[in-house]
Amino acid sequence: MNYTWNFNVIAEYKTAILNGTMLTLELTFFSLIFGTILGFLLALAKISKNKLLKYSAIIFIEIFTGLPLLVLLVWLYYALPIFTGFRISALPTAVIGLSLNLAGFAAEIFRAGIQSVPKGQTEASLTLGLTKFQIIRRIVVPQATKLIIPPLSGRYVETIKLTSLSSVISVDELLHSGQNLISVSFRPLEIYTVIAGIYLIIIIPLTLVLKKLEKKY
Amino acid sequence: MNKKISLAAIVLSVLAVIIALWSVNKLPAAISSQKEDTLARILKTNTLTICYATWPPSVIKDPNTGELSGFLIDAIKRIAEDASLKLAYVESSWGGFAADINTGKCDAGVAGFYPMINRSTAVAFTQPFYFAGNNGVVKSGDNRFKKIQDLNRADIKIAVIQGEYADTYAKKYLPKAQLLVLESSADNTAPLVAVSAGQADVGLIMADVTKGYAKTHLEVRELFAEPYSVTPISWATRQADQQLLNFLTNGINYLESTGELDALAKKYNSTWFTEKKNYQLLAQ
Repeated sequence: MNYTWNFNVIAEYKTAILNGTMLTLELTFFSLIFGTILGFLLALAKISKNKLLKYSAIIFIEIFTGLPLLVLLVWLYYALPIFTGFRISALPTAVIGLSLNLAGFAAEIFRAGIQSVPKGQTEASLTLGLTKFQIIRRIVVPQATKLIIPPLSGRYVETIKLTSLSSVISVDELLHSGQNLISVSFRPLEIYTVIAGIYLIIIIPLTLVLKKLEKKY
Repeated sequence: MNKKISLAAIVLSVLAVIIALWSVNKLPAAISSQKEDTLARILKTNTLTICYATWPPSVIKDPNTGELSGFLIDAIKRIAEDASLKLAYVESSWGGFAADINTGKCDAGVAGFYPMINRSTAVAFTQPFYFAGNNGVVKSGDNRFKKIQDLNRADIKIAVIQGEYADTYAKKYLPKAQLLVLESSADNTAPLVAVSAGQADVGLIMADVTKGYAKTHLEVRELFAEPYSVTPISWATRQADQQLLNFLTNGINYLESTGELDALAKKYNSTWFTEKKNYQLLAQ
């Protein structure tokens, strides 16, 4: 193929690419924090004996694991304001959408991890006089962590990749910045190549750190 | 436990169907329920919020600073300046601008919108004030096409962007050709990249894009020396905001009459077309 590559445009617009990368990291950071906290609370609700909490959690998880994230983002951004009259700008919409998506999957991961600890151990700990908090901290969490970390790591990496979907609602993350840059420079192949490289630069070290964590626990 | 989960799934499915059916009935009512006098609010708050979609050189977003320019942006700045209004900007997309306008994210859409009949049922358009040329690119050595109808062959693969003018045109006038319809959120060079990458014989899009792309890519050339057709260009508002629509139309007419609109287009080396109007003295 006689295509002439020209990467000069990258140097010229490095600020745009850097800004896009920073926004991708920002989106990822907040989505991981909110998604993990919400996911953990949903897991507790799902295994709770309170039926209202339990079924609310089940419904929430079914909705947000069942909805494709792209559809969720577009719905939150365009349809929700019509139904509620509540307008929300693109960046918070993306954080909410990504967090809800992660929370649904993380809840199932946390629940599976917590429920993998045999009930007998909890009952034995209670008879030994440990408080519920002590049982969670010393018995459940150390054993559940081993099972939770590998799938949760996978979801975290997936969430980073999913941030690119927020470009459809015009969030100026890495892909959207790249698309704007393409409209000015007419150099799509070079720009998409650099974007792919940046995603790998973000994801590969994170994957290595998460694998080390898996080994540690 | 499994029985309980199955029950929850059934309840959820029923709920989803009810919500979906309700949405279908509720949506148009919700859209048309915005009865606020938009122009009065704009004049009261001194702020006109516009949605834009980037398409250089009419709407340019500086990749490094995010600053907006382009001849359509300069035109709306001029109109706002004369009306002592401040401008607020909301970035939109080609596929999402009607939804952005109708959900009140902005008061008007300022970009090179093509006022198609089906789009006119969703938003109101100003009178077209420019016409954008349409062209394409082919591989540099490909000399098979002399006129647009030469593309209407079963062995020709044409790349277009979903919903864009060329998509509609090719479906109607080039039915024998194979269409490679690219997703509407793709960047505007996508049909042309398909030619560079050997995925299509021809990529069709507006002429300002084909010109810029062919200039920077030696492996392709423009399909024709002149555009094969032109697309009228308008701005958009909500259907109910006829006063705002009049305000924008008057603003455009004013800039046109003073020659400022053409001067702005020339400043940005636009390849768009304008109507040549002949005036003569009534008394003659």
